[in-house]
Order: sequence, then C-alpha cells, then structure tokens
Amino acid sequence: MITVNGESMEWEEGMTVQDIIERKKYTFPLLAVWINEVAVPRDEFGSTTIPDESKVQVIHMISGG
Amino acid sequence: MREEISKGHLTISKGGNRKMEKMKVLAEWSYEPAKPHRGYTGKTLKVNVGEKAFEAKDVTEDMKEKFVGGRGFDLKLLWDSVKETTKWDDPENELVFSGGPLCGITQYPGTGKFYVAFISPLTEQTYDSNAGGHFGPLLKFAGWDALEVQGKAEKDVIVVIDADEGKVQILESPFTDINAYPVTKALYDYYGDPNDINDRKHISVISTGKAAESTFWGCLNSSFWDVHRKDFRLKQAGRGGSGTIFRDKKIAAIVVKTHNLSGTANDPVDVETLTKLGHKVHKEIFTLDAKQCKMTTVGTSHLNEIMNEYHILPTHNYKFGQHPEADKIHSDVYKTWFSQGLPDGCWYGCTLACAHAVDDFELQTGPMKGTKVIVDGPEYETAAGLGSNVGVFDPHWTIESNYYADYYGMDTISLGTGLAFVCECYELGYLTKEHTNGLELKFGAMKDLMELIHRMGEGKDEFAKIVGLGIARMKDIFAEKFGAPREMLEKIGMEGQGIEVSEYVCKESIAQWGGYFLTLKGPQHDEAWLIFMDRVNKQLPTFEDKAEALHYFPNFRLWFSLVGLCKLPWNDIEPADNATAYPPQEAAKVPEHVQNYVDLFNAVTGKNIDKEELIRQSERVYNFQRVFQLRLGKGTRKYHNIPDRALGPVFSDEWEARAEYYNNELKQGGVDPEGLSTEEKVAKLNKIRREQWEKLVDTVYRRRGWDRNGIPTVETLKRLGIDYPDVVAVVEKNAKPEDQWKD
Repeated sequence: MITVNGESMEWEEGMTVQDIIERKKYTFPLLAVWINEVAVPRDEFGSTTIPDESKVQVIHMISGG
Repeated sequence: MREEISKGHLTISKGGNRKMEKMKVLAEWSYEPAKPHRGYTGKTLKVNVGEKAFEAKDVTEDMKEKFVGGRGFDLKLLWDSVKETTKWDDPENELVFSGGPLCGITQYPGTGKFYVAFISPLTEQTYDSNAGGHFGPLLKFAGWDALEVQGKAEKDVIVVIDADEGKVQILESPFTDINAYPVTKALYDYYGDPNDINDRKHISVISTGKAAESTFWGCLNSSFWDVHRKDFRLKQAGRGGSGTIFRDKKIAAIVVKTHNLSGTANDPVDVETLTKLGHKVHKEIFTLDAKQCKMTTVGTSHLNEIMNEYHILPTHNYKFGQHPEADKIHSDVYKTWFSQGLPDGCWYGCTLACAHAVDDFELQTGPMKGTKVIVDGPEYETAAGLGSNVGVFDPHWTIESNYYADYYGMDTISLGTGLAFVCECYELGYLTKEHTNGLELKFGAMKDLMELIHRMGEGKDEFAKIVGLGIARMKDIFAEKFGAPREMLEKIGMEGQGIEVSEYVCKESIAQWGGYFLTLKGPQHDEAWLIFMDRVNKQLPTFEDKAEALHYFPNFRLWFSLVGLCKLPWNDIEPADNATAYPPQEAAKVPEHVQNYVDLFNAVTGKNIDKEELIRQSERVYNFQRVFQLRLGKGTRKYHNIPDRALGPVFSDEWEARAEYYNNELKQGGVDPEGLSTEEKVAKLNKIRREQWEKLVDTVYRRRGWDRNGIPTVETLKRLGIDYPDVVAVVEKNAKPEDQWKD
C-alpha cells in the first residue's frame, strides 16, 4: 500500500509515477512529484518506479486562476 | 483589419460617430510633465469634471513607503477624498487610476497594468479593478503617478491629458454613440498623426459603453495600439462597476497622450539587473511555455479543459463542475479562432503574449451585425462565464457576446454569472416570459440570451435593467415583485458582498471558500486561488494551513496591484527546476519568480526590500482597505457571507453528479449516508459545511490579526505602521470588547 496525496492506493510491483498519474486522472501538464520527500524530474515520470509503503505527493503547480 | 469598419465608424451608420470637428474646450490647465525617476514622477493629478478644476499633488515619502503605488495610491487618495457617508453616485466618489513604480518597464513581461479604485455601485464599498493596455504606462510617462477623477459633469465630457502639449483639458463630448469601439476609434483618428498610423502607440483611451448607463456592471475599456494589426485593441478593467461611475460622471472618454516612451522612461536605478531578469524569464517562456500553459498560443483558455477535467468549470450556474460538451470549448478549438504568430502582448516586452484576438470576426447580431471586427479574447473567465456557466458550448456565441460586452461596456464575469442565475431562476419557474418581456431564458438559449445582452446594452427594457443591477438586487426584486422564494434565491445566487462570483466551482475546496468569500471586496479570484493546493494536492489539511494560505497568497498577489504588474508571468510559467529545487509547499510560491520581483522592485526604485518586506508592503494596504470598508459601513463579519451553492450541492442532481465524493464527505463528517434520501444528505452536508465555514472564518481572522468581527486590531495597524489617527479612529469606533479574542 502507498499513499498518494494522503489517500491510500494499492501498490503494484513495477508501478511508475506515470501509472499513478494516469490512475488518478491527473491531466494537468505542470505536475511535480515527490516520493518520500525526494523530487522526481518530470522527464523521469515514466521510468521511476514506486517502492511499496511510499508516500507520494503529486503536486499540481497552479495556485492562481 | 478594421479599416472597412473604421470607415463605418466615421459615418453615422452602424452605430458609429460622425467624423469629429474640433472639440469645444470647457476647461484647460497647463503643466510641466514631471519625468519619472526611479519609477515615480512624484506627482498625482486630480480632475474635477463637475467644477472643471485641476490640481497637482506631491507624492510624499510616507505615501511611497506605506502605500507603494498603484492600488495603494488609489486607496489613499480615495480615502482622503470621500466621507463615511459617500455613496457610489455622489459627486465626491472618485475613479482613481495608478500604475505603480514598476508599471511601464519593458524589460520584464507583464508590466503594463493600471489599477482603478472607487466606491462600487454593486458592493457599496471600495473596489479595485485592473486592466492592461497602454493607459497605465502612458499616464505615468505623461507625468502622473495617479489620476483622480471626481465630480459630475453637466453634459458628456472628454478628459484629455496631453503631455506633448503640456495641458489637461475637459472637452465637450461630440459623441452620440458612446459605445467603446466607436468612441475609441474616433479619438484615435482625432489625435493620431494622419501621416504615421503607428504614431498612435503614443495614445491610449479609456472608454465604457451604453450599458454602463443602466447597469451596475459597467466596465472600463483601456486601449492600446497594435502596431502589427495597425488598429486599436481593448483590454478591460471589468469588475465592480467602474464604468457605471464613469457614465454617472458623464465622462465619455479619458485620453492620455505622450511621446515620452522608451525602455528606460521610468529612469530605473539599475537597468542591467532589469535586463538580466528579463532575459531569464523570456528564455523560460521561449523554451517552456509550449510544454507548460501554452499562454503564447491560447492564453488563459488553456484552463477551459483543465477546469472541466477537475470538476471546477462552472456549468449551469455552478451546479456542476464538468460537462460532456466541454470539448467544444477546449483550448484547441479556441486556438483555431485566435490568430497565431502575432506578438500579442498588451504592453511592450511581454513575451508571454496572452492577449489573443479573433480577427475578421463577422458579427451576426446587434447594431454591428454583418461587420467584421477584432475581438479581444475570450479569456478563460469569459469562455466559462459566457459559455459553460450559461449552458452554451458554442465558441462563436461566446466570442460574439464577448465583443458586445466590451462594446456596450459590461463586465463579462458579472454578466456571465448574472445570466447563469437568471437561467436557473427561469428553469425553476421563478421567472416567466411575462417577467422577461418575452424571452425564454433557459440554459443554452443562445438567441434569447444574446437578445437580453443587446437589451442591456440599449438600456430600454425594464427586465434587462433589473438583471444589470446584479444578483444581490435581482434576489430582492425577484422575491418582492415576482414572488420567487427568497430562501432558494439566497442558496443559488452566486454573489458575495454584492458582486458576482468569478468562474470557478469552489464547493469542493474549503480553502477556496475563503479565497472567494473572505476577501476584501467580494468573490474575485485575484486574492487566492487555492483549489488545487487544497482539494487535489492536499497541501492544506488543517484549518490553520488553510488560514496560512489565506494570509500569504492574498498578500503576495495584492503586491502586483501596488507596483503595476500582471499576475500571469508569476506562475503561468515556471522555471524548469521549480518542482525539484524546492519542497512542495514552497514550490507552489514559485520562489525564484518571487525573488525576481524583489530584485525588480529594488532595481527600479533603488530601495532594498526582501521577500518579507514585499509581503508587509501588501499587508499594509490589505488592512488599510479592510478598515476603509469598515469606514463605509461594511467590513465586518456579516458581510463575509457565502451562498449554499458555493459550499456544496443545493439540489439532488448536483449531489448525484458527484455522489461518491459527497457520500465520502458525509462519512468524514461523521454521518452515515446509508439509508438517507439525497435531499436528506444534501441538508446534512450543508449543516456540516456551515460549521466548517464558521471555523474557517475564525481561524483566518486570527491569522490576519483581526478580531472575531473581522476588524483589524489596533495592534495590527501598529505592527504594520498604518496607525494613522484617522485609521485608528475608525477601528476604535467599531471594535467591541466582546469581539476580542480571549486567549
């Protein structure tokens, strides 16, 4: 089990940051991701796997309309 | 592009004005334009159109220190000119315009804004609104850090500030058609060099339109000369009813004209730093915008699909945040309407260039039917307000209504939200064709909705006039005269403090309740936009976290209004490493760009502020404006109200559209939804959310240094250095011992 933005999500072997983004239907282009407080570069979302028990933060970099 | 239509404007056909003869001078005053030095000219101008009087005032060091410029100067000058009893249509009410010390620099994007402050007909307290275009910079380069316009003329006038001739004039207006496009066109023709079309870049015109005479949604149009199209464009200070005051004062236009225009006209102390900072951000835009927000190709319309995907796009008077037809208003669709490849900045040096336009748009209705025009926008707010929120998913209709809102001088946001409220009232049976004078105002009824806009523009139809008074007054009239149920109108009328909500669904974000409804002047998103931070990112889990965000962001964002900047280059483009260089909470502030602003301010003014002082500069003006509202009889807790529709679902279909989410919310509130009817669930969630709202209000007030009644404490005024005797006196007169926090 992992948490994504504080909510529980089933962990699967080999799941990547990109998998999480798609599962959560996060379509916003300016996403920033931290796994256990460590930032993941945007161009590595598809290749970075998530360890079990991770705390994942997917932050939408928008704070203004 | 508008050449043929321009010819039309020169005749009396198509609602235009006859070619102008020399205008009659009613009053004239000579001056020596002060040159800006380190961002300030040190002078402000007051024009009283009723008394035909002119006055120059000095800008004091204390004024610069405490109020900085822009909206700060506006509010200070307004404070000194009105009384606690002043109403929006009293002669002493003013329209005060100011850019601010960074306004007009050309090295950094988004530096052409002016801010206008006034006592609003909608909210009956101070309001401030802003626009791009060239008016703000040209006003300063004409010698003035601010312009106060006071009084009421006997008949229509034009105010002209001509720095080239060193004179300010009040002229008799020759216009029979005071709508924005014909007035602006005629004045460019009148003042422009006939031998050099692009010399008109030294001219800017403020205008409104006919709707400003009969509605409270009157906006101000601010022009700039587009040297690529060889035609003028209009940007709008839309919100609050400034255009309504403009016409109440019988002003047809304000013209500013100066040839003192260069990249260093502000006489900044450190041009090298300005250039360096500008290069850095221009490079970000060139290399990253296409992968980020696509501002240079579609502007803020990129938000259309994002808001829809996250249940934030208002549809059908904010009932829903998503709609199956939203693909029809996707930014890819708007991109096909916007002319591409043109540098669409509304002031020099803005490479973000989001001021997109639809060229050669053939109007299908109204007084300009059949002509081809340039339409500025629509931006996101207009695409949503005069689109999804009224149940319309047809860009052609939205573009046409956008054009006519500008033409008639109406705020597209209040217009969109107001029409959405009317549509829902009609569909609920609170309004009939008898009330609407024959119009069937259902959601998506494009023909009749457009007809209503034209009736508002003409100012003749009684129902159209009622609509133009805004939702707060519509609720009274619909209940008292039409017999509509008051309780329901209060639930679904999306306004706060008298003004309509801008175009985001906030019912799933507690923090954004505050971002809209715990604001200085009503639910406009210029203070805080926290929906993603709060609801999606879950970065604000506690009420204290939300209150901290509702302290920081309103104060940070207010700063743009002090110095003359546009907010968009702050976070609609971000450095490539923003997300990896900072922890999540800090990254949301785009720290490198905040530092850019600190450095820009210091490089122009020669001062030495840091990020903390930047926030204090804003906090002073924020609290000053709060006390100003109090002085005008508002500014207390009871005016921070929120309609049920903003808190959550009002009707069962709203619940069912997001049933899983709302059922979960009930469970988190300690209520088992099992076995409850949808109506019961709606009522129980509303009760929970009302309690959450009150807790949010308490927590935010404490964080802001206000008492339980929302009044800044004297200690807060002292901490900020704005404990002027007359300011303290207002607080002491209104603060009560029982409202002070006990611990």
